Amino acid sequence: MADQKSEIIQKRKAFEKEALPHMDALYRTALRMLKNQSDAEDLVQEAFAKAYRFWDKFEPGSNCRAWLFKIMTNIFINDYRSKSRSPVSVNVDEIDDYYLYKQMDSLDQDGDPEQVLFSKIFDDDVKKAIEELPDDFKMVVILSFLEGFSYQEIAEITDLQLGTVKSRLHRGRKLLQKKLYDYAIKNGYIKDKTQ
Amino acid sequence: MNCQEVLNLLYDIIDREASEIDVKEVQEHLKHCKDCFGVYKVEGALQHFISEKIKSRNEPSPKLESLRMKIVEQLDQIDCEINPDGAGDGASESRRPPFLGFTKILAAAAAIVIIIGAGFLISGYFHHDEFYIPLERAHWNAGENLIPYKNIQHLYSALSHTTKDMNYKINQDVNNYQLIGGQQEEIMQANMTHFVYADKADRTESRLVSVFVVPAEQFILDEELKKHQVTINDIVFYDHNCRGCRLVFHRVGDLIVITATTEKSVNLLEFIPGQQAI
Repeated sequence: MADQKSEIIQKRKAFEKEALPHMDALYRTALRMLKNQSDAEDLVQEAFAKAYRFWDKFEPGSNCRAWLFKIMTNIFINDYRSKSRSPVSVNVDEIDDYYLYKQMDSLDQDGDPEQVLFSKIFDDDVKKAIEELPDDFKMVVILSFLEGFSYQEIAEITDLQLGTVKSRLHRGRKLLQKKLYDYAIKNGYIKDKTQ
Repeated sequence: MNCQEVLNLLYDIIDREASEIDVKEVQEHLKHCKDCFGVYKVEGALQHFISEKIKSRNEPSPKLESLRMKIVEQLDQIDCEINPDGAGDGASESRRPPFLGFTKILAAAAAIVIIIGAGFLISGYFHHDEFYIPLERAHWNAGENLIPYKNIQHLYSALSHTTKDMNYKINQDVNNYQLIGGQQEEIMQANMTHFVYADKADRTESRLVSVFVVPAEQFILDEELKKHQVTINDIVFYDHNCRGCRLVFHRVGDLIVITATTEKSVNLLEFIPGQQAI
């Protein structure tokens, strides 16, 4: 009995020391993957419950943060994605590479064009642009932009090939560029010479 | 490198995935190529811009703290599931710890020693996590955070900060157990004095006994607990067992005394001086 109890305590202590400190990061990612706080909280709680149940599968000394993200991403893909799936309204492949760069020439602005453009894009626009990305792109964009995971780590977390990660990240970037530019124009923050 | 090769490396470089050699060659190219430089500049600035924006949306810490509490509660529940003895379902006969076997109640002149009858124990098995877990946690942490025993005055002084009712008599020795320390602790918003006893022969953490003393007005007994009260000769106890940690609640004057142990052979009631009915 005492052995079983001390085993539980040891496991619990290790988990609270290794895994729990990553809660903030998991939650901020969950918040950006899902649209509302309560879904994000549920997802993070589920991820920690699962991680705790499978704690003996975690190799001590390996990357606990990536391991937790992998668990959360799996739950997200299986249980949450359909709830929040957003329609792909833009065909990514029709967007030019380096879209923003190519628009700069047409901007009717003085000064450093990209700085002028960015200074006119509000926080909510960025949030919305990311929220509106299709889930497949959104996931790799958030893991890279927000959490700073490497391509290899993202491949392991999402169970994708390295090439797929890079291609989704690339396409996610194109979509973001187009969306941010469109918001800026639509809201009249900047003027396109051609209009 | 030509322009195409340089542009192919664009995101690898922005994402810090490119090799040092590639970075140097690209830098060299950008010095002389205005078009590629323009692309790198805009893409790099965009990367920086988006990262800053999404990172700046931090959640307020009370929100995170409440989420953390929810997760910890969930872990507590999983601990209970894993340990069938603590699951509150009575488990099987063979799993019953030996402390259930006592059958008699004895009254001695100095102190009444209560031995728990086997009959009430089935009803004594129940479980209401939120109410017990902070106590169990305090008991589990007893070995680590304890202020060691200096002298009895020191402990009475700790007790005096918890209660004005100083009729509580601190037992320094209970059978083969010895008082090893104590301190004030705030547990579930109540100001408690936490005494810790260790087995004289075996001082390992798993054999510790905790005695929590708290003024009755500060500690409202859980309704769930009251459903499972046990009365023997007008003496009332509440008994709870979860995750291998057993808690016995008893009232002494205006105080509630809670004893806790994971060592099942211990008669927790012996640690309570001068019991009376709640």
